[in-house]
Amino acid sequence: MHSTTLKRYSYTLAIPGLLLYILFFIIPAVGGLALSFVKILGFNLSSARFGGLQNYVDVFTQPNMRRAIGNSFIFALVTTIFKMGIGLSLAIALNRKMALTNALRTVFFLPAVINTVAVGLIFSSLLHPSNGLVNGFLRAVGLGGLAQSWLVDTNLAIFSVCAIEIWKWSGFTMVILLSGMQTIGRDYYEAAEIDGADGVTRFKYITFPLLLPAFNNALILSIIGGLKVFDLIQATTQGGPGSATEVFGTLIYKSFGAGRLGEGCAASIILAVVIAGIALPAYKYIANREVEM
Amino acid sequence: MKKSRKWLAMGLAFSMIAGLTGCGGSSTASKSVSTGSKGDMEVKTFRVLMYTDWYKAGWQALEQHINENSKELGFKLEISKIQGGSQGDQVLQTKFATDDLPDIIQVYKPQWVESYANGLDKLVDLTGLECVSEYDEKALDGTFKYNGKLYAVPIDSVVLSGVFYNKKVFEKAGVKIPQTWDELLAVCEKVKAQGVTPVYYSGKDAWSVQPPTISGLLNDAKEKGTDTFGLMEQINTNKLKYADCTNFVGSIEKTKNLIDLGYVNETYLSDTVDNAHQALANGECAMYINGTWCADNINKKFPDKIDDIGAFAIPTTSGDNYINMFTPYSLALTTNCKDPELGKKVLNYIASKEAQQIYADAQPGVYLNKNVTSDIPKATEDLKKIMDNGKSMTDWEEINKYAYGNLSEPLLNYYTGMLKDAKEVAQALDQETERNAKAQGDSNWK
Repeated sequence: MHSTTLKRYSYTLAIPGLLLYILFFIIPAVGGLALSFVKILGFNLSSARFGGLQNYVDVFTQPNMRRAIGNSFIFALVTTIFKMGIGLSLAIALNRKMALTNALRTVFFLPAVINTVAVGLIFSSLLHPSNGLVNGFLRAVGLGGLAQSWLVDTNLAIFSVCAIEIWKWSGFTMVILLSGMQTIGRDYYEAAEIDGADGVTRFKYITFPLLLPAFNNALILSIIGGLKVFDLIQATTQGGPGSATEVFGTLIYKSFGAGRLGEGCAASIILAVVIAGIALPAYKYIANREVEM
Repeated sequence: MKKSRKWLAMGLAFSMIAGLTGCGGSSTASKSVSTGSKGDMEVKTFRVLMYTDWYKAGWQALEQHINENSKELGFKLEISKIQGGSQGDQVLQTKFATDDLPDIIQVYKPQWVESYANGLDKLVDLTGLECVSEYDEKALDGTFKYNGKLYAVPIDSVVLSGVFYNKKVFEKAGVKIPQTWDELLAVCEKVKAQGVTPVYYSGKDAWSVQPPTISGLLNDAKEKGTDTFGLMEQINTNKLKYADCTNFVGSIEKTKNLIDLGYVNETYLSDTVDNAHQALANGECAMYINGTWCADNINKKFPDKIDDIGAFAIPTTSGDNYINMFTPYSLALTTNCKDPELGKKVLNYIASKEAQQIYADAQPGVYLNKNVTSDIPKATEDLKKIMDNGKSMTDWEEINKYAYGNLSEPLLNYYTGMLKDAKEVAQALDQETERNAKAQGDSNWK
């Protein structure tokens, strides 16, 4: 009796949250899926008609599709490798008691809380080929040969945006990994020290295996964030010059912007499927290698 | 203690009810019709909706004038502003779809309402307004007057597009205003020899690379014995492709040649419209191709330099040069207005010489009302003279049935070598037009 009342009580409490979830997540998602099979231009409802898989075909025949897919994968790969590498290095470096540990943790995390549009504006200015501080500094120290058109060279622009993303989010990865490291008990290290294990051995056989759950989370977040990037590209290059830094996110934005709502929904669903297709196996692969503490 | 709490609770409940009643009262007053005090002329309030960026000095002055003289006029305005851009467009589209419209609405064009909001039937036909006699019929035809009905009156000024040049730089280089493209190239060569950038591009603001290419479309229209309305009618019905507009393709190629010949600022992909205005005002460049926003901005930021700036039509190969004209915004009466007859009088007043002059005094520019005078920069005056001589055409984008996408994107792809041929730029517009027409289910595209 008591348990039934308790159950009913907890279900009742869950209802408002569930309703909001259904209203703002489930219904729009189902609506988006349904709309992806409809041919419609803007809000001209009288022109709406069932289009079958045509919207999906249209997504793949977009003129910039190949470049957008290529750039999305380059962005996800490059930023994930560097964010994980830098994040892990920072986490290891700051997982000890030093005078400035807390201050440094804050400093490295700070870029993650800066508004992306502000970041875009700041870096557009810093990376300006003639007036930018970066090229100005390079010229001042006699490295003028390294000065580049960072955000407007069609071969370089996507990597410049990757660098901004790495700068912005490495601190965030560091925080996830740090929290993972702090759950590892001191006993393991003490036992290893007695056995004469050096730093590299301790990292290889204690830290990294026990860090895998946190590492896995950070990695998956980075892959998903990289594949669905939109805000930073829009704030720095708007997919340009021309379509040099076009990614899947900006293509979806353009479909919706042109009023092709069905095509935009189809593209969003394709992106969700691609992300799930990459992130889930990757997560499972690493999760299988996790060890119990 | 308990009793005093009860009284306090009752007092609070009463004050909340009173507050809510107060709110209800004010919302009733904001509806389209409200009555003034007894004995005065009845004053009705009209709800007006527009984008925030359209509510500038002109509207501020006009709203103030109308509301201060509401007893004499018999109406006053209650203006609501929403964010513009694509988000604002979506809000307007939703408002048309759900019939949640104010009495008066400011939109780009009636064609926009038809193509993007499917709401032309929600605009009242204004045919017969007295103020129309103060406008050139040609200026209203095709945009405000559409499908035989007057759907809106003009509000705000005309924007004219041409080549803005620094007179001092021209004088120093010993060159005159070029009439043909070859003459323009000769001017560029002489200006470059003086160490000044001949032509400024501002590719960081991608839209701004479009205006230099438009002269070709105007010439295509002319060659076909029509204007941009006629040309776009053919494109809108799939009888003509952008890629077949030879002058348009030619003008795209020419704008790239300027880059290849070294006549354009080297960092054009990183430079903005503001950089361009500054460079032109300071004589760091000789020419900049854009709309009369350029003169307005220089007038605001560098008032001591504005008289150094002049303007001319973009030179073409033949020398038969036209300028592009962006017509003003449209002010329309919606079918939600409960008193359409008075609503028509409101629009008639706003479009009349008296109201337009108030608007123009606060916000100088080129106005379509023939009786309005305005103190405009010399460069704008230069372009107005060309328009008054009948050498202007309405901007093609305004009369497009289907969005062509973003011309600046394929243009920049062409400039940076990602597209090899000028024709591919025009083909990109054709592809985007086709996608939109097919999404609409237009039978002209099978």
